[in-house]
Amino acid sequence: MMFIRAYISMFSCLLLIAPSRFAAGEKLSALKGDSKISYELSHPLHKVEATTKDFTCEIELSESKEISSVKFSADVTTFDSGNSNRDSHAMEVIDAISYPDVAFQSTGISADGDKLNVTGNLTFHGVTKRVSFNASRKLVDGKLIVEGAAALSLTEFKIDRPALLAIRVDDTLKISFVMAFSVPRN
Amino acid sequence: MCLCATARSAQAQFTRDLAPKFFDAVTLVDSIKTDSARADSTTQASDGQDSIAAVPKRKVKLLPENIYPLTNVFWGESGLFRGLGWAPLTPDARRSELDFRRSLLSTHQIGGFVTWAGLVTTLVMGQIVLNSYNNLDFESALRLRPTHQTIATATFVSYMLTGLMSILAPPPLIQRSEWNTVSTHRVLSYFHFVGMLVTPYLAIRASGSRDINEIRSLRQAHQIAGYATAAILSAALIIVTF
Repeated sequence: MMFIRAYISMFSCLLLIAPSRFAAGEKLSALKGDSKISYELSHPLHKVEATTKDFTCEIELSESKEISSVKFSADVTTFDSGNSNRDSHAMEVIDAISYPDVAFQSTGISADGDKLNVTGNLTFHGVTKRVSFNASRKLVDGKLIVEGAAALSLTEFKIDRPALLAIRVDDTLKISFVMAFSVPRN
Repeated sequence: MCLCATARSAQAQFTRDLAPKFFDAVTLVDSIKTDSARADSTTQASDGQDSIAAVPKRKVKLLPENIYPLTNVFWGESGLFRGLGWAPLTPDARRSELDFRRSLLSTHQIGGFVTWAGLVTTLVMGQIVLNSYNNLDFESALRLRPTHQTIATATFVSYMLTGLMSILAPPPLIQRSEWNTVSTHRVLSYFHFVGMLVTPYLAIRASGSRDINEIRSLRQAHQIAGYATAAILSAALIIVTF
């Protein structure tokens, strides 16, 4: 009985104390090993999927403890499809020497339970465009996991679609991501 | 028991309703630090309008870490073309190099198909000539042999020029230490290169021989080498589409 009472009082204290421990405007950075972002391109002969874990992603929390902003930046040359020749070709078409980064800065985030709708400016291939995508959040093994996907048009970002055997890839570039943020050890 | 149930219920409620908000507010313990230098390199977005980003200050590695030895001789940091001043290692020059590389590799692709078509035609003609010899139809054999030789010579020239385009191409921007379809394509090229040298050599040896048994053996070896070379070249062509 004493154990149960102690458990309840500790639990109540935790609920009362926890929100006050974390200031609004606090920033969390994505965990490098657990977070990844991928793109997928389709060609009539095969699909190409390239992934990177080498990027920075930072979320900011509002006073109501909701995710209020997202900032993301990645070096485009770190995306790995398992074929560096193909990746190098991709770097040629997006002119990675002139534009080595892809970056996103949110301008608005709306939440409906664990579902998020994120709007912001994406800079890719030197072109900045407003994009909007859906994401979801969940708690797994003590980590906050935010997952989502977006579809971009290569043409809209002024990218000349690469070709294999004179056949060009589809215009749609599918982006998917998993971002993990650490939680405190109490 | 009642308290136990209450505790379980409170825990369940916390997990279901409060945990997401709680975990949104937690401090970061082991996360990576934001690379502000990298983030600063991107242009501020305009409000919903397309905009062109300024050229970032961050320098991109212009040459890959892994570079083929032969490519390194010409295009390495201290390569021949760099030393002669033909290809300075600057972003602008490297961008032009990559365009040149793409042109060479596109032509290499077309050259590969042309060479393959030439090789298949040479094989067909060679088989007809060989059948004529075997059927003791020397008139047809001697009439068709120059055509076979002409197509074979054209195919050989096309093959060498196509190969040269790949060998002389500047290095890509990225070249990791990995095995991929291009690696297989490259390994197969060593075999079809040997085949492209051995096949005509056997034909020349057969033409110069006066020993009928040796001629027959050399013709057969020439035939096998030709078919094997065509098979390897076909495999090398197909593999790059994966």
